[in-house]
Amino acid sequence: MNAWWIAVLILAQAVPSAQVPAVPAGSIHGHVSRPDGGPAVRARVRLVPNAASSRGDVTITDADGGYVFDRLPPGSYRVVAEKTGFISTQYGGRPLDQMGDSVEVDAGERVERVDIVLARQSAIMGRILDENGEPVEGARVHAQQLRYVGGRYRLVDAFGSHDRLTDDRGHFRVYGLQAGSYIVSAVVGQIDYPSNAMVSLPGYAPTFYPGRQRVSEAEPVRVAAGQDVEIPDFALARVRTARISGRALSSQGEPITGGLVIRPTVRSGGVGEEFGARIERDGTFEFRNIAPGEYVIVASKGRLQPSVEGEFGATALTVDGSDIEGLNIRTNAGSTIAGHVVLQGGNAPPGAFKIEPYPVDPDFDPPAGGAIAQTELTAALDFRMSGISGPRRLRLTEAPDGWMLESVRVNGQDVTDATLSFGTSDESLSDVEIVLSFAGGEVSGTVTAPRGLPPSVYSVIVFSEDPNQWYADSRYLKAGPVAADGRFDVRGLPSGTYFVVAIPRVEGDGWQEPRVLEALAATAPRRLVTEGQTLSLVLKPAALPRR
Amino acid sequence: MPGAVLALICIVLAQAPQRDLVAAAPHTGAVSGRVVDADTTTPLRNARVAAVPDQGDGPDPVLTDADGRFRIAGLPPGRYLLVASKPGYVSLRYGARRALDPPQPIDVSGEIPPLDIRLPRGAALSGRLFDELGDPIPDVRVTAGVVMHTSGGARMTAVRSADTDDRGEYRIAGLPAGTYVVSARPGPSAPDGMVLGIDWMNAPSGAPTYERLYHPSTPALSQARQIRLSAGDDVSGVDLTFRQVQRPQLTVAVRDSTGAPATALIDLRSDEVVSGLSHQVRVDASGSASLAIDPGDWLLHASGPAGQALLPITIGEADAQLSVVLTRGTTISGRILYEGSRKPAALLLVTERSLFPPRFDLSESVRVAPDDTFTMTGVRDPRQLQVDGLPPGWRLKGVFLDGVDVMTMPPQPSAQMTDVKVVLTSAPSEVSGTVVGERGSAAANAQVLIYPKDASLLVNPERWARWTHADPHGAFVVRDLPAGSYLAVALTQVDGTRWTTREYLDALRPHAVAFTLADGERRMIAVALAAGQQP
Repeated sequence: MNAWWIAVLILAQAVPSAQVPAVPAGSIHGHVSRPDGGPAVRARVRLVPNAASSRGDVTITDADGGYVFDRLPPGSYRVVAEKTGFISTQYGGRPLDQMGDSVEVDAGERVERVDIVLARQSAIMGRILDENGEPVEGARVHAQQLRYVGGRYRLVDAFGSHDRLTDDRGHFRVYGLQAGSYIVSAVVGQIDYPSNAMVSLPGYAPTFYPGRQRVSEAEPVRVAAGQDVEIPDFALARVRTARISGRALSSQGEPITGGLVIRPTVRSGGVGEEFGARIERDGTFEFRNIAPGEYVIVASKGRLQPSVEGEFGATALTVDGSDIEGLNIRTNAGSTIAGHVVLQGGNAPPGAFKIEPYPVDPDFDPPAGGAIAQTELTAALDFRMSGISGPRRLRLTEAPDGWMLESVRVNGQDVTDATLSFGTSDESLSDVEIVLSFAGGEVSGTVTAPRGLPPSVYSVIVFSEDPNQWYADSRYLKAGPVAADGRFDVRGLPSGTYFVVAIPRVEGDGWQEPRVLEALAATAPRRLVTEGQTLSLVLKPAALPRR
Repeated sequence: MPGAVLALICIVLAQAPQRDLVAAAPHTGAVSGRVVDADTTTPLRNARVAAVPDQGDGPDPVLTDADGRFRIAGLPPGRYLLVASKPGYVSLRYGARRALDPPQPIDVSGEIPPLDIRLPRGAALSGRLFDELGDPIPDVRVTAGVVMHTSGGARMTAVRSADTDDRGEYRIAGLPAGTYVVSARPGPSAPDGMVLGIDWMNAPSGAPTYERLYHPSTPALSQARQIRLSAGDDVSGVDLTFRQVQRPQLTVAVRDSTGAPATALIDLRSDEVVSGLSHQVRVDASGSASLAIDPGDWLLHASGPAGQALLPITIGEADAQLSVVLTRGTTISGRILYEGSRKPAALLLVTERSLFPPRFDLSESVRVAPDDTFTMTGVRDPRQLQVDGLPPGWRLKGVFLDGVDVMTMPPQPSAQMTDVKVVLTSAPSEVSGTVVGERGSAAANAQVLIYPKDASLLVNPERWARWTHADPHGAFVVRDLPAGSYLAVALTQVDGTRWTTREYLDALRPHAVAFTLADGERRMIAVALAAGQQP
């Protein structure tokens, strides 16, 4: 979602507008102001068209904070204001990582008062010390948010913010933050992306505020809009760190010179932190200053084409403070999954569907940024994916509304929601039949919002009563928007017993967090959904459980 | 040709220490010692100590214990630099009392006696960056540097840098005592530059931009405020206020040697290390092209069918016109000759390097053919030749054209140079000696400068000049100087920012001892300590 939105902004930015429309041109006028009401002088204002056919533009506010976009073709636009020290804000008041309000411009129309108030950025400050209470210089401090993404908790970098290094006094200041709750951590002695320089300081474990080695024991830091929060000093955990070295080779015996990371296992409480290796051209690698714990080293060549993942290898290991040498990592070429898709109860172009072998065990995920394969269906609805490793489930990840995964069969056996193991050519599947159905169950109706609130600030979620079906991209977890008139319609559900709840509008799949579903399930009535039938409901919004 | 620079000089970069070939000893060595505060001699705990070998990676660094002690064991025999650091202190290499001093390498074979590393307290500079509206400028790299003087003029050499935060604040710490200038330039280094959609490289002329400023907000290095820092000083308020300027337009007219318009591809590179800016523009048959370019120092390289041109230019706030004449350049060809033991198997490269450094590093190499010949075409004045890839024990004796060593007697610029003889020798050359103190006793902690009698050779100090430390007994040794006439002087302190300048070394002449060095000679000299003599 974020990536898509940013991509649109950049694309729209790429070609400045010079087009003279054939129809009478419109214009957008407005002011950008600071939170105190004063003008935001020399702020950048960007025009982002909602339709790819129009072009974007950039301008700078004048001494009164005013701006104008003129000579505009009629259409739908969004407007973004940016100024250093402030959170980039769209017309409508939302930050960049959410969808903003649109400005509709008719032919020849002059749209005024498209005003934007910039919110000041927030910051977290503090000091990182060693075990003697003396400052640590060069520690990398992150402010991240613990979010439920893709079926598990992960530490996610705060949008618009970057990690920062401590100075000679141990001071840090992480800025550019929006209001929210943050996990603050400090790491020293790891390879420093992107400069690739290593501050090789041995003997310290990654440490979460207020001085804990596990993220589960971290204390979140709450930050209000525009607030500078100074947290108490905390010390890095002094441990015996180890150097882990060896050689990584592909299935063909070629050195692997990239995509090698070590990370704490999710089983042992890892939340997606990864550390890189020093890698030589002959494939010898070295991880330095690794704290005791349970780890996986993952080697991956990355996705080559949409339907082909690269070679992959993973080794689990326990680090106890002693150096580990001579570790040999060999990647596998992976397995192939080939077969065909059958469409039931409707029709749609093959390109509208994407099926992915979704990793089931997060410890064997590709390194961050490594994408997983997806089908590229032929006109005859055939597909072939290769280079697949690790335990996977076949999931329908892209489809027109109303379509659902009906069944997956291998040699006549139903493996629809089963975990399949891949990695070697023996584990390849050659005749997979995937049935997609347009005749799934449907839940529709209206949401009655409290007085004064538009229903569109809510979403409706539908989730199975069986917690075993609560996993990323499950067929039994669905969400849908609520229209301005309160109507909603969630389609493509397999038959079963569900909970149907209206909750405050959600972005992404964060609502699938088991804690949230359990709390909502405790009070919501069970609903029977049957394929081919529509259940009609009137819902009152429920509150999300507090963290 | 006024201000002519030597057209052709050969230097050898590989100054590998000469060591007799000894079968690799199977044992390992260890180095140990203490890290202490240079002023108070208080032991420093949790100081980081690393043993850095001549080549490759050393072992993991270690931290000192509560008594400031460290020990790094398991070192393969060899030569190491010991580097110690601690927040709030100046990171130093063992043997250096100040950051610019040459360090004293440690020959490790077996256990060597414990060493004390004395760290001076670091100084810090801090301040804020503002624009003319008074708004802070975040995410800009601010550099504290020293003004280095060479025969080529003054320039800033960066010592340490830090980035501004959202309040525009920066803090550069761990600085050795010394005199600094502070410089910054807001620009494309902002990490969110792409998301903000600012395409700095291709902004049109007239677009707002900033030029590099030195504290207290001047674009001229000569007007930069020199900030004198003693150990432990913490100086704040080193602010810079930037004013937006309009990006000027540069128009380049390209001509061939007859004065007719010529086509060319023009490549412009900035000396801004951080941003690594460059522009390319194609000049068509009209012989003229324009581009928008930021103020600052640029190196322009033009190449086309009519030849090439290379020149440094400085762009100010105003639009600029420039005329460039393409020339064919000269051809240098010749042969490598080896004197001494049998010819090394190493691959040699003859490298030409622009004499416009150090702001710009533009070099091209040709590989020496198996029959020991080389040919380099299109060589532009002014240029240097070097030989890269010399194996240990070999050095460049000289480069001869018609029997004349062109390293000491430069030929005419642009002269065709065929049948150049590049002579390499394996005969060791060594100058060793003792620094003698006031009463004739050996002087401890002296520093020795050796430099050529002929000051014009200082254009190439890497080849002709040396700065070394005498050991605690006053003994020093310098290897691989070419044959020639030299001066040696011993001082208690050397100004590392200007020691290769003619003015500095000329002022030392009255205290220097003269000697000559023949090829392959091992020469011993005695040098009296010129106490308190600092130009």
